[in-house]
Amino acid sequence: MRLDDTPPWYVPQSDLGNVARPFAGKVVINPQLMARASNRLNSISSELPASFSSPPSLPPEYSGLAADLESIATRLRTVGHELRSSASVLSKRAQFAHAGQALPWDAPTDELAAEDIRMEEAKEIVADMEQRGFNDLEKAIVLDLLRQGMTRYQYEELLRGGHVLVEGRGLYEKWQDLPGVYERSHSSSHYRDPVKHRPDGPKWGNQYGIGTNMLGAVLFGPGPDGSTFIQLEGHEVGMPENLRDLDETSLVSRTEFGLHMVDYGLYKLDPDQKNRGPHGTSFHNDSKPLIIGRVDVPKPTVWQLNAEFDRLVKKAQRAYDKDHPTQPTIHPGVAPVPVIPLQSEETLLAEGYLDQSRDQFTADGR
Amino acid sequence: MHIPGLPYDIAAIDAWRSDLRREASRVEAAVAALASAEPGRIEFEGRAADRYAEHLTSQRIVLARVLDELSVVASRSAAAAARAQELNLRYEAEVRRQIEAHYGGEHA
Repeated sequence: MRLDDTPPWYVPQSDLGNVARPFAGKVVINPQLMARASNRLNSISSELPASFSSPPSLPPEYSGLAADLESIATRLRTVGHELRSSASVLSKRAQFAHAGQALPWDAPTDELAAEDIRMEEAKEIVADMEQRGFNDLEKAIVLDLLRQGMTRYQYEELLRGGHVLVEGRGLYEKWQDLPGVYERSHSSSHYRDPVKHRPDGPKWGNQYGIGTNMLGAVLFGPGPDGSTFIQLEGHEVGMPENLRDLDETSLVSRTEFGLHMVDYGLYKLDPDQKNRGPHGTSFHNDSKPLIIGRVDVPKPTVWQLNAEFDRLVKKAQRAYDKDHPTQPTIHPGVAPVPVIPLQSEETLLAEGYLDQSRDQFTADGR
Repeated sequence: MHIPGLPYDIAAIDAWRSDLRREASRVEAAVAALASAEPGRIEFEGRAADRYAEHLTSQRIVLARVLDELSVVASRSAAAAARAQELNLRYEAEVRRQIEAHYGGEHA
């Protein structure tokens, strides 16, 4: 094995002995015992009866016994096969461990590492929720996302207002039963049907909101490719009926609505179009969503890419202009080019710009 | 008097049943042996070991179920043997009765 190819779980030959050895501090293998276990599994497998002798003639009411025995024999053969497979894997593991290597599935593979990281991140997220003082409703929403595989980064971005798409409509259905849910199809700008625009409703079904303390205004609804979207907004839009009267509820709702519209304005003015969440801003708006599970987000069209490219170029230009304020440019070695205004032929002749004696064309025009 | 051509071969049924008992005891031994193949006994730890343990446990559960079903088959085979014996006796009695009816008891 070349040095460049040495995986992080490689154990040098010099470190080998007949002892259990750790791989990357996670997997411990004793090759000799493992080889013995492999032999044992093989012998157990060979001891299992692969078939039964067919019964002799039996009274008619017991004729089903033959079929029962065949079914049992089939299952025994399957178990035997499984045990032989395990034995083979153990044997390979023993050989690799003896050679100082772990099999890919013994080593902390990407999958296992990802799972480990996910578990650690889940603990961190739960601790963070405790620290922030989430109530039961808020915890329930975050834990639902966590069960679907939300990462720490996605959690942080979610709190900042990141647009999250979760595989399937399970959470969409489930969250509709949460306390305090109200319909927000009238006041959501996400996934509007381009043909049937407001007030006919969004593309794939009603959208809902929940007012919370720590998660701000939770907006969720059906997303693309059969997904569920969730986005936390800094300020609530509120129900239209709360905006009608001039009571305390209305004043709070109006203030929230006003702040929501301020957020919307800031979002539109922002060159990055960052979402405004309860705990900051997030680059992940609905055209750059965070995805939990498998969601096939429609790829941007060419004009969308062009628009994005233009936006980035303009942003870069603005940044450059900011760092390099425009100064009058002086080019010492280049003389200014005279500008000759359009004048009549007579004037040009009089001022010597045209040479009358020199005919530039022959009589036939060549 | 021996009656030839009895419908069920009791000796063959007994032999088959003893085969069944032998096979069931092999499965029983395999279930017990699998318990001693746990990863803890071979100094094998970590996630892969957990999966291996799960795999062994599931195979042991399958084998235990198979063993249960085998014992059901064995008890039904005992009932089948008894029933075969009973039918044989009935057959024999019927043949005897017919012979007696035909020959008037002098050949009984």
